[in-house]
Amino acid sequence: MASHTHDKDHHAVSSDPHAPDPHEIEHIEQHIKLYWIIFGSLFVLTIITVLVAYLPFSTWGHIICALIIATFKAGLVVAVFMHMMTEKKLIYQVMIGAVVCAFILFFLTWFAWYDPIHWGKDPYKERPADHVVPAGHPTVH
Amino acid sequence: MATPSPSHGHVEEHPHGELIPYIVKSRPDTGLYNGKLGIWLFLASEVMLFGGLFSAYIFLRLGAEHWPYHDVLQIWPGLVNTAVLIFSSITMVLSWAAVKRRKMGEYYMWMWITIGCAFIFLGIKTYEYYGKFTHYGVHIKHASFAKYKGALEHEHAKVKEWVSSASFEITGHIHGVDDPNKSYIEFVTDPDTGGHGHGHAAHPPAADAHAPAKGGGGAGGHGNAIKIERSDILRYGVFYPKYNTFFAIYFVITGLHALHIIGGICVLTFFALPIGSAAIYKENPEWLANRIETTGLFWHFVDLVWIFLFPVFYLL
Repeated sequence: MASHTHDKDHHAVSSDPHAPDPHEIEHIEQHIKLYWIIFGSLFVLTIITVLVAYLPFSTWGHIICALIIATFKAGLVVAVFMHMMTEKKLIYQVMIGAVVCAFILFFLTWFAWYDPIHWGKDPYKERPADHVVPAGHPTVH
Repeated sequence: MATPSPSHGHVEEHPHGELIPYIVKSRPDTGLYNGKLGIWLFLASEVMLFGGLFSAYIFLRLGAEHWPYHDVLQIWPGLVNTAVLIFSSITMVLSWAAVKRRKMGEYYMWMWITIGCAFIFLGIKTYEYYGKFTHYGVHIKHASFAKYKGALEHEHAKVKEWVSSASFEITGHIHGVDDPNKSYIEFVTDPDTGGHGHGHAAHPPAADAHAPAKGGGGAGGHGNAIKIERSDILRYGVFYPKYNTFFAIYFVITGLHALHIIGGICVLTFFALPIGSAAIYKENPEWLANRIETTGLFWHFVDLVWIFLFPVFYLL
């Protein structure tokens, strides 16, 4: 109502408007258990990442393993610590846009194959295993 | 009721002179309080900022003549820092949960533990940076390399050939003081730990690759200084970002990440002190809870970036 003053509104709600909702407290206390479980999982996954690095995989094998574990860990942090699992649709829309843009950035690297210096040939295929002089590589002074 | 002013609803919801609407309650159209949408938009821009830098990393690595894999960074500081940040993430979310449950003593405790973790992280990072800033690399010219080959083999030194610059690179520490008036440098090389395969075979990371310089004693190596004539050196220097491509991108990304940690410490300290939290808690505890939630969203994001940084730089 237009005639309500601020004070009247404030006092009309209850004796203590800032008392926590007991239902919500119970909900949060359940969540605290989950937070500790996620912390434990993240810790174990970190140890696993390091152990996997000692396994005799190829470089690409290492890259794929490490990134899969890291992405899973990031997912746990976003879903639970950042409350994404109970988040509103708008947040998803914003973040999906950003992540897709960032992902596209990773593939800008492919344009290096079309670098005019290497026009007509694939510079990476023609490399002898470890002794390579990339064209346009700045000479270390 | 017939003609309410457009701002009237906001004023009624925030009866204590709050000028910003919807910082406690959710906006009906977004379903979010404004601070949360704001911080997520900021995080979206951060995703693209770090995404661009990781893209640069991929580009540099694919075009590199050599990539040092994991033989230049020690694993254990990175591993400890990962654990520290993960722990600080849970203490952050617990301080939010404490406000939600109106337990202010617990809130202050978790906040200060979070800040403590941030300082431990920066301390370990400083130790790592210091180790790099006192660690030398020397490029010996191809033509002069034969002179030193025997001595380097005797020391089991790690030697890397660079075809593009026609040089052999060794790393280690300057023995004593680097006196520019002398015609030579005395150099204690890093031992070859066998951990530098070329990506096709097993290459276990060298867990104890380098300790920071302490007067030039190479742990595990023979530790004898080799005299290298300056005229035989193509270039030498400590591991600053300009030393090579790996350190350039390593320092840019970890440095930017460390700046985020420092920014986080400022915000966390503000809210961990009564000046930042007591008044708004008294005003409305949910208002403080929302502020701690948005602080936490930033802090978890900083943790999240590190979750990718650690394997990318330390393990791969």
